Amino acid sequence: MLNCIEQWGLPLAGMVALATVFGFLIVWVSKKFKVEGNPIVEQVNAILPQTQCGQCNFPGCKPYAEAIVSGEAPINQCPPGGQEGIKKLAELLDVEILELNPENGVEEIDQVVEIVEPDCIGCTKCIQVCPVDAIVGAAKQMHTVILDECTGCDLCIPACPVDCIIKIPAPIANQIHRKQKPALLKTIQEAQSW
Amino acid sequence: MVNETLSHFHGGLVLRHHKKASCEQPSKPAGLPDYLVIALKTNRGICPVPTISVGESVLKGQVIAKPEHPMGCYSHAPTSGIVTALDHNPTASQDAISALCVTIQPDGKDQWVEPADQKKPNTREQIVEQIKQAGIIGLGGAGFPTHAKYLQVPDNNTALSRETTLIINGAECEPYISCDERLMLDHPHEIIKGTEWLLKAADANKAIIAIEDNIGGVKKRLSAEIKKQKIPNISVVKVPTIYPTGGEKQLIKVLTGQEVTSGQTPYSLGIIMQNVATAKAVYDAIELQQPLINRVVTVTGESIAEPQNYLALIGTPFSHLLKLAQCKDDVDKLIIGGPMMGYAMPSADIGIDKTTNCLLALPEVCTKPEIESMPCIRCGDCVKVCPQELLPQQLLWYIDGNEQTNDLEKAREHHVFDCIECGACSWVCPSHINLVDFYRFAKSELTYLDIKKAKSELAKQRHDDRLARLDFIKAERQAKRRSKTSKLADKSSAKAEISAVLARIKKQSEEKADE
Amino acid sequence: MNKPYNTSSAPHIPARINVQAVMLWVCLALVPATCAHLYYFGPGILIQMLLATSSAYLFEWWCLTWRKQPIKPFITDLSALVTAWLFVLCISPIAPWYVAVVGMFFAIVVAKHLYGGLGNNIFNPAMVAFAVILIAFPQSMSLWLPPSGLMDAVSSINQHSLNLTELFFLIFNGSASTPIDAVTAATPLAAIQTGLQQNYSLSEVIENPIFGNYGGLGWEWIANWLFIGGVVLMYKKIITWHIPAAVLMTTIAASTPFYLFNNDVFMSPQQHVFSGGIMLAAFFIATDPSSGCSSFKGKIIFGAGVAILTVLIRNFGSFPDGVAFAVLLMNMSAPLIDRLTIPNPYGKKPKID
Repeated sequence: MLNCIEQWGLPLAGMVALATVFGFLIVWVSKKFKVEGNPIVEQVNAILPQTQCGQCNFPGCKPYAEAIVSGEAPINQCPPGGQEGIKKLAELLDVEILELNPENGVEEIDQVVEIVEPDCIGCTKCIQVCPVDAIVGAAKQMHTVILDECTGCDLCIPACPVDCIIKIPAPIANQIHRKQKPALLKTIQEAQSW
Repeated sequence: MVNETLSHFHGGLVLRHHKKASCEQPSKPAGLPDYLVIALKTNRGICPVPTISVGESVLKGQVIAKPEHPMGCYSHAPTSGIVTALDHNPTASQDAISALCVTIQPDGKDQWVEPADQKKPNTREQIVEQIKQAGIIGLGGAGFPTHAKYLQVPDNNTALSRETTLIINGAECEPYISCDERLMLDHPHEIIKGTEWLLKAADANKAIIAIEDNIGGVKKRLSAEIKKQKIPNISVVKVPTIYPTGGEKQLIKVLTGQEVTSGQTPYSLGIIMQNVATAKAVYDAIELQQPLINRVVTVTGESIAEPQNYLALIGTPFSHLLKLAQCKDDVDKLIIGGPMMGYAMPSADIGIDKTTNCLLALPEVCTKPEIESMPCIRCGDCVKVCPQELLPQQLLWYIDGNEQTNDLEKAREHHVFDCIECGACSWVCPSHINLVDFYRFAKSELTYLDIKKAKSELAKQRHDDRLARLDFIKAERQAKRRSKTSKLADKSSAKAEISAVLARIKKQSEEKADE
Repeated sequence: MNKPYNTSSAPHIPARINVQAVMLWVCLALVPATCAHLYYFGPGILIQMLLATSSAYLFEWWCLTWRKQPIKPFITDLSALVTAWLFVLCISPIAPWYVAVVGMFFAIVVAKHLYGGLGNNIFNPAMVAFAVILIAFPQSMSLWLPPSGLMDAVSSINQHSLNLTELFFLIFNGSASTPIDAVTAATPLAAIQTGLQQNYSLSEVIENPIFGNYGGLGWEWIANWLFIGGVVLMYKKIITWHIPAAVLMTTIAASTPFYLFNNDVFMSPQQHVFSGGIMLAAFFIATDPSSGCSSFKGKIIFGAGVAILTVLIRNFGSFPDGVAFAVLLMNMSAPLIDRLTIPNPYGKKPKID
C-alpha cells in the first residue's frame, strides 16, 4: 500500500496540480477573451449584401442571417448576394455550396431605381417601404431617389400606385471601369490549332 | 536633395529603342484634318462641362468645356469651325473607352479667338491660374492636371525654407517614342523658359532636366540654351537608359536615391515632376497666351513608310496622321503610346488627346507571339525585372489561381496597387502571360468590391437607423396609449374623461345642427 | 481600313524568351556533365536516357490526354526531357530498366500531373522519382560502375569495362556474362558510409581508389562540368546566383565545423561539395522554379536549407546521400518561406532612422 503511494503519489499529485492549473487557465481565458453577442450572426450578416430587399422571405438581412445560423434557412436564398455570396457563406459556415434558389429571384448586377419625376403623384408610399430611407419627398410633393444610397431592393416598385419607378444601372459604373477577367490559357481547341 | 551620383531602381529592362527613324527630322505640322474629335475627359481626370452646343461655330482657342471639379481641366477648340456633334465616342485611352467628345468641322480659316490680353503673371497663384486656364495637363502620359500639382505647395514655402526640386522629365524610356527628344532638339528655348515659369510656380530652388544617355546632342543644346539665358539653377542630367526609367517613381529613385512612399505624391519628398512637353505648353500659355491645343506626336512603327514627329492639333484622328506618314496596309495593331504600355486601338477614327505621345502601327510579323501563353512556371524572371519590387508571379497565383488560392485580397496584401503597369514582367515572361492584364483586372475588381462594401455598410447603417426610428415611433405611440389607459383605470379621472368626450360630441353635433 | 485592328493588350512586341527555350538551355547546360559521365562511367547513361525520356514522354502524353489538356504545347515544352535528364544523372548507369520507368511514373504522373501539371508541382519531379527509387530499390542504387581510368591506375580492383551488349543485358535482363560484383563499385559516399560502419577511419576509407583529388574519381569532374553548365545558365539569366551560391556556401559552412571537430568521422567540405548530388542540386534542382521560393531572400533561405539538410543527412543519416530528401523537405517549406519573405515593394520600405 505504502509502496503504491510512493510509486503513484507523485505523478498523481502532479496531474491533479496540472489539471487545476489548466482548469483555472481555461476559465481565465474564457473570461478574458469573451466575445459579446453572437459573432457568427454578425459574420454572416457582414457577407449578406445589406440590400434589405426581403427576397429571402425574411424581413431583412439580419433576420436572414439569424435564420441561417440557427439552421432555419439554407444559404441559397439571397439573389443580390449571388453565387459569390453563397460561396463565401459556405466557406464561413463550412457547408456545401448550393445553387441560388430560383424561387427567391435571380441575381442582378448593380441596379438601382429612379423615379420618373413627372409621373410622381407624391403619395409617399415608396418612402414608407424604403428600407434604407433612400427616397426623399413629402406628401403631394415630387419624390426622388438618392442614387448613392439606393440598394436596388425594388421594394418601392410594387408600392408605387402609378408605376413611375424604373430600374437603372447603378452609378458605380461611372466610378470604375470594371474589367473582364483575362484568360490564362485559351481554350483547348484554340491551343491545339497552332 | 539630389545626389551627385545617380542611384538605380530595382529590375528594369534594356530594350532596343527603335527611336532613330522617327527622330531624324524636325517635327512637321500635321495640318488641318477633315474633322476633329476632342475627348473632354482626360485619363483619370474628371469630365468638364461643355460650354458649347451642336451647330455653334467656335474660334481657335475658344473654351469648349469648363471644369466643375478641381481635378478637371479646360478644353479649347484647336481650330475655328462648327461643332457638329457632342456625343459619346471611343477615346484614345485604355480599352478605347467611350466618353463625351466634341466633334468640330474645321472651316479652314484657323481664326484665333480674341486674346484675353492677360498680363504676364507675377505671383505663384497667377502662374498656376494661367496654367489652369490654358487647360494644361501632364503630357507624359498620366494626364494629371498640371495646376493641381502646385496646389500642394504651401504659400509660405520659402519661409519654411523647405527645399523643393523641380524635375523635368525628358526620359522617354519606351521604345519607338521620340516626341520628347525631338521637342528638346527643336524647342530648347521654349522648354527652358517654361521651366523657369514652373520653378516660380513650385517655389523651387532648382530644376533638373533628366534625359536618357542614349540621345546625343540634346544635352549640349539644352545646356547651351541654359547658358544663354543665364539660369544657373537649371541643370541637365543624363540617366541610364533602362526601361522604365521615365516612370515618375523610378526617375525619382535614380536622381535622388529616395522612394516616394506608397500612396503619397512626390511632393512629400519636396519634388514636383513635369514632362518636357508640359514645360513647353506652359511657355506657350504664359508667353504666347496660347492654350494647349496641339502636341507633338510620334508616328512610327514597322508599318509606317516615313516615320516622323508631327505637331498635331488635339483631336486629329489617327487616320489623318497615318495617311501623312504613308502607312502601309498591313497594320495589325494600332497602338497609342509605346509597345510596352500602350493601348491597342480598335479603329483609326479616334482623335488624339493631350496625352497621346505616339502612334505606333505594327504589322502582324512584329506583334504575333511565337507561341501562345502557357502556365506560369514560376521562373521568377518577373521578380527580377519588376521596378516596383513586387512578386508578379505570386500576384498571378492569387488572381488566377485555382479554387483554393484564388483570393484577390491576398493580391492586395502582396501590394497589387503598387504596380505601375510598366509591362516589364509581361515582356520577360517565358510563358507569355499578359501579367499586367491580370493586375489591371485585380485593381478594378478590388476597387469595385471596395465600393460595394462601402455601399453595403452604408445601407446597413441606414437600415439600422431606420429600424431604430420606427421602434422609437412605435414606443412613443405605445406610451401615449398607455397613459390614456392608465387614466381610464382610475374611476374619478375616467369619469372626467368620459364627460369630456361626451361634451365634445355634443358640441360637434350642435355645430352640425347650426349648419 | 477594312478589318478591325487587333486590340490585344501590351506588350506589343514579342517576348524575350519562351518556356521551350528555357528548358532547352537547361538541357544544353547539362550536356558537358553528361559527356563527362559518359566518359567516366561508360555508355550506360545513354541507355538510361533513352529509357527515361521515352517513358517520361509516354506518361506525359497519357496524362495530358487523361486531363484533357492541349497536347502539343505541353509535349513540346521540353520540361519532361529536363525531368528525365536530371533523374538519369542521379541514378546508376547500370540500374535495371524498371528503375527508369517507375521513376518517371512517379515524376511525371504523381509529382507533376497529379498536382496540376507544368508549373503547379510543389515537389521537384526528378527528386520525387529519385527518392522513390532510393527507398524502393536501394540495391540498384548501390551498384555503380567504377570510373574508367581506374583500371590502368589501380590493378587491385578487378576491373572489367562493359561493352554495349553487356550493358543491355545487365539493364534489361539483370544478368551479365561476368559476375556483377566484378564490374561494380560503390559510390564514394556509399563507400564512406559502409567504411565508417565497419569502423574504418575516414582517411583509411578514402585511400580506396574510387576517390580522386577532392571528391570521388570522375565524380569531381562531373561536378566541375555541372558547375560550368550552371554558370552558363546564370549568364543566360535563366537562373539567378542566389540558390547556387546559398547551397554551395552553406554546404561548406555547415560541414567545416564537423570536419574540424572530428576529421576521422566527418567528411571534409570539399568532399561534400564535389561528391554526390550537391552540385547538381545547387544549379539544376534547387533552382527548379515551380517547387522553390520566389523572392531573393526566400531563395537564399531555400538554398541554405537544402545544404544544411544534405550535410546533416550525409553525416548522421542512414542514406549515403541526402540531396533528394533535403530538396523535397525544402520544397515542402517553400510556400511558408515565401510567405515570410514577401519583399517590401518600392515606397513601402520600413523607415531606417
